[in-house]
Amino acid sequence: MWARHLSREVLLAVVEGGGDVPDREHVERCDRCRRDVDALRATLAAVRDVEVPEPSPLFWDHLSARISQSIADEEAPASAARTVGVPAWRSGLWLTGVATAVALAVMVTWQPADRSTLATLSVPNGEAGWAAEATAVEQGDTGWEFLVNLAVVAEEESWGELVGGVQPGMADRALQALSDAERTALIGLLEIEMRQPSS
Amino acid sequence: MEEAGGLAATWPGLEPAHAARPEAGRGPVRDHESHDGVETSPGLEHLDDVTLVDAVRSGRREAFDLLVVRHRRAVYQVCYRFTGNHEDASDLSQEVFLRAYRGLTSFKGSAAFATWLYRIAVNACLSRSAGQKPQADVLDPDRHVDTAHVAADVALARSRMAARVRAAVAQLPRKQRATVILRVYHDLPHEQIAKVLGSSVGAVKANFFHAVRNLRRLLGEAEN
Repeated sequence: MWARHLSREVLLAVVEGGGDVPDREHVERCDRCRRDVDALRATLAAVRDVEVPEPSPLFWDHLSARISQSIADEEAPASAARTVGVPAWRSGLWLTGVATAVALAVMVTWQPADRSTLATLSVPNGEAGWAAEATAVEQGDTGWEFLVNLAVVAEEESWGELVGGVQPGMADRALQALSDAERTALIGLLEIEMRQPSS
Repeated sequence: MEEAGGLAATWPGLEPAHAARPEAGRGPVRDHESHDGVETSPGLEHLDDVTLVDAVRSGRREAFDLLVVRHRRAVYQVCYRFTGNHEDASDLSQEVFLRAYRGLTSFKGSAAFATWLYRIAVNACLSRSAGQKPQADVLDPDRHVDTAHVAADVALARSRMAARVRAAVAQLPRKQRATVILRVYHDLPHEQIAKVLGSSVGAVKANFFHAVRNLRRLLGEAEN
C-alpha cells in the first residue's frame, strides 16, 4: 500500500519515457499508478497512430505557387489592381445608367398635355412606342423632348446599349407602370399621331 | 505511402541553436530539394532560416519561396490536424505563409523561425476553428491506410479507429487540442509548445495531461 501516488506531472513524464528512477520504481510496485500509466500510454499510442494522408506530390508545387501568387497579388500597386480586368466599354456605363434612370423616371411621371382625346386603343408595341416619342417631340411635348435630348447627349453606343439591352417589352413595361389615366392619355396621343397623314 | 506523421512531421530548423547555423532548417523531409518551379537564387539553399528572413527583408523575395519550401509540409500537417480535411488545410497553409510574410518585420529571431511559424499556424487554425466543427474528409480506408501489407479487416479497423481519434481530438478544448497536436504529432518539447502557445511550461503539461485523459474518456465512449 502506497500512501502517496504519483502526481499527474510525474505520471506524464513516466508515460513519455522520462521520470526519475524512484518514480519508475513506484509505478512498478503501485497497481493504481501502473494502471494510470498503461491507460495513458495506450491512449497516446492510439492517437499517435493516426497519420495525415499524404497529398498528391503535385500538391506541394501547387501550394508554393499559390502562396507566391498571393504575395505577388498583395504587393501589386493598388492602382494597377483597380484598372486590371476592367473592360474599356464599361467606363461609360455610369452615363448610361444615369440616362436610363432619368428616362424611366420621365416616362413614369410624364403627364400628357392634352387629356381631352382619350381613346380605348390597345397598347402599341415597342416599335410604335418609340415612333411616338419622336412625334411627341415634334408636337412640342417637353417630356419627350427631354428624352430625345438625352439620346443626343449620350454616346450613340451607350444609348444603343440602353435601348438594345432592354428593348424587348420595354415599352410595355413602361406603360404598365403608368396609371390608367396616364396610359389612356398616351394612347390618345398615339391615336392622333397615327391618324395624321405621313409626310 | 510515405508516413506523413511521426518523424516526417518533425519541423525543420526547430531548435534555435540549429536555426542559427548554416545548413540548419533542414528536416528529414527534403522538400527544399524540389524547387517547384519557384526561381531561387543559387546559394540560398544553404542559408539558415534566419539568414533567409534577413534576405527577404532586404528585398529578395525568392528567399521567402525557399522558406515556404522548407516549412510547407509541417505547416500543412498542423493545419490538417486541426481541420481534418485537405481543402481547409490547404487554404489555411496559404494563409499562414501569407501572414508570416506580412509579419516578417516582427520576427526578432529570438526563437526559431519554425517556432514563430508554428505560432502563426496554431493561431490561424484556432481562429478558423472557433465556432466551426472540423469537417473531416470522407472516410476512405484505401486513402488513409496502407492496405498493401495488412488484411482488409485490419485496415478497416485502423481506419475506423483513426476516424474516432480525429473526432475525439476535435472535441478537445482549443488549448488542449493544440497541445496534443504539437506534442504528439510534431514532437515539440513542452518548453517549445509553451512558446508557441504563449503559456507556461506547467500549464502546457497540465493541458497535455488533461487532454490525454479526455481523449481516453472520449475514445472509451466512442467504443461503447
